[in-house]
Amino acid sequence: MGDRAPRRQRPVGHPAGRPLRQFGAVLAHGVGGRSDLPLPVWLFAYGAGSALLISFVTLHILWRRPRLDALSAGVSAPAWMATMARPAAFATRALGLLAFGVVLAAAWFGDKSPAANIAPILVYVIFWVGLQAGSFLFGDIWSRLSPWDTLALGFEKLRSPRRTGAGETGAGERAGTHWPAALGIAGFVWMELCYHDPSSPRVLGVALALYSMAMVVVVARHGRARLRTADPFAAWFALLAAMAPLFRDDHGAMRLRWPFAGLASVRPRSGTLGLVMVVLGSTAFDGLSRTAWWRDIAASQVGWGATAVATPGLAATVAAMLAVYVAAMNAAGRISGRGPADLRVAFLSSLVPIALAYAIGHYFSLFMFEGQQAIAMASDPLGRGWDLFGTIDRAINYRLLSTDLIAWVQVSAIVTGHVAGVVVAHDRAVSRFELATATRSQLPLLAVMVAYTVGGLALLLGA
Amino acid sequence: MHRFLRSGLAGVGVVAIALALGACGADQNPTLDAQPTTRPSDGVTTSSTLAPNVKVFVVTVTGNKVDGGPQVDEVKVGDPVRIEVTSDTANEVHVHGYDLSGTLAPGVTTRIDLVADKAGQWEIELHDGNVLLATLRVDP
Repeated sequence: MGDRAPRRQRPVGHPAGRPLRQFGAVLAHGVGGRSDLPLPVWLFAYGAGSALLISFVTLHILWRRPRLDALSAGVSAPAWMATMARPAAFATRALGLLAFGVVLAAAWFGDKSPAANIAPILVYVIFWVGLQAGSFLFGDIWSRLSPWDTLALGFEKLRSPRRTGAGETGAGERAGTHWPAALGIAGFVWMELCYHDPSSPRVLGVALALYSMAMVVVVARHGRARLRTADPFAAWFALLAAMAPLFRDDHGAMRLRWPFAGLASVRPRSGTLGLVMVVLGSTAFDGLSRTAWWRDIAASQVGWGATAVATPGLAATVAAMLAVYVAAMNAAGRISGRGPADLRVAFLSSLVPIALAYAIGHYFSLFMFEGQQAIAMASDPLGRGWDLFGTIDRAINYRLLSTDLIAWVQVSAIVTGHVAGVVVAHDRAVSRFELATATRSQLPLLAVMVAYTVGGLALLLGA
Repeated sequence: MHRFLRSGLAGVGVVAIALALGACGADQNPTLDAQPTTRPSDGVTTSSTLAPNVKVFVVTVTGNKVDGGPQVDEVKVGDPVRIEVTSDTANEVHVHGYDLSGTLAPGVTTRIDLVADKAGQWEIELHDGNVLLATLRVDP
């Protein structure tokens, strides 16, 4: 890339200064060159301490009968929300198609340097981080944003214009496993965290092509509704969206409910455990890979050597997270006299808020800082020297958030995720067992959650 | 010989003036800039202009690896920082977040001066090969 003219040159005060090149989008580890400051030890202690305290209080104080099943039904959304839904869905679908088109064009035809191409920022920061948080806040927005859902819907309407909204909750959605989704997400996080050149636009272009081909095959063979489980991102975002205050019932009506309450209505499929563990493990590995310990191992590796070191690291982290959970469920099985396989499914939804908490804890500042690049690059997504919106010279404002605020968001997210996980697990336990068994069966899971939470906080210590 | 010496001295004088001018320019733009020392007319700052509170970090690169491994350089917000990088191969050094880069010529020390005004941990890396040289840790 040395022979290319730098796309954005900052005015340099120095008479003979070199033009400064904007490297912010170089995603060495799937993320830019900034890391958060290590968490202060006292804040770590507060977070870990409150997680422990909350866990034990939960066991003794919380409800004795399941409540989330009732709460997950929610209440009807106000009429104006239902009125807004159609135009909002239309706008969301249009935005999804447009963004997909921009990413495809940038990945295939844009500048080869990630610093001058909007695709890496859109895919890794705005899409992957932003939509995880967005699904939690606003519900299942990916089902409208997904270009493949929109294209398949358009195709359906072309073939039979009268039928609208078919397949919303049809048999196609109920069928299907989460194994393809787990594999798909594993491939995506491998590319982001292990492959040595994750932000190369052309590499992204190849990945997009593979993803697109897979989605076309899914729609052609099983219909549009199957995208909900077979599209890896749809599957994961839908799990996160179950925690959102806004949702649609089986008839497509918009309803409101307490955040996290919808986790009670999640029905795990085969492969759901793998899907959750891949996401959880990938975030943990991203935190791990910033520690001095890991850097000592990986520092000297470049190119495929770096890939070869990181790949087993990611796999081992996912396996370790999974092993801890499976061991706890085996212990819970012995205590409660139930089959461990049954328990693994029963408690699975309580891990979803923890996975989201990990993601927010690790990627909040990335989204807020590197995400700003998207504003500048929107003016020149392909790196052709355009300035469509006059934003091209916007630099990242790294003073947008103080380091204290970032640390508090990280700890609050992880502790909140822990609380939500513990509460959901408790509710699931009392819905399945009588109280005494429920309390005992929760003990191993509580230990797991405390381990995940303290581990997640410890990774933020970064030392 | 005399003429040689005299022209040599004159050359040194010109360079010294250029250095002094360059130092003035650098003072006016404290967060910028990075230059290799091979181009004194570009306004490289010399050690005589180094303020006493400047935190200096020295990185030596041999065969695309950092001697002694990548270190964490800790400073406070507002500290003036000088990063000196010497590599045995040509490359380009980049300080993330501050968006400063400097060309590395084999065996020539490149200095990057900046004022650490953004809190966080910032990677200093070689552009070719994405080699982490050091982390600049800026505490509030």
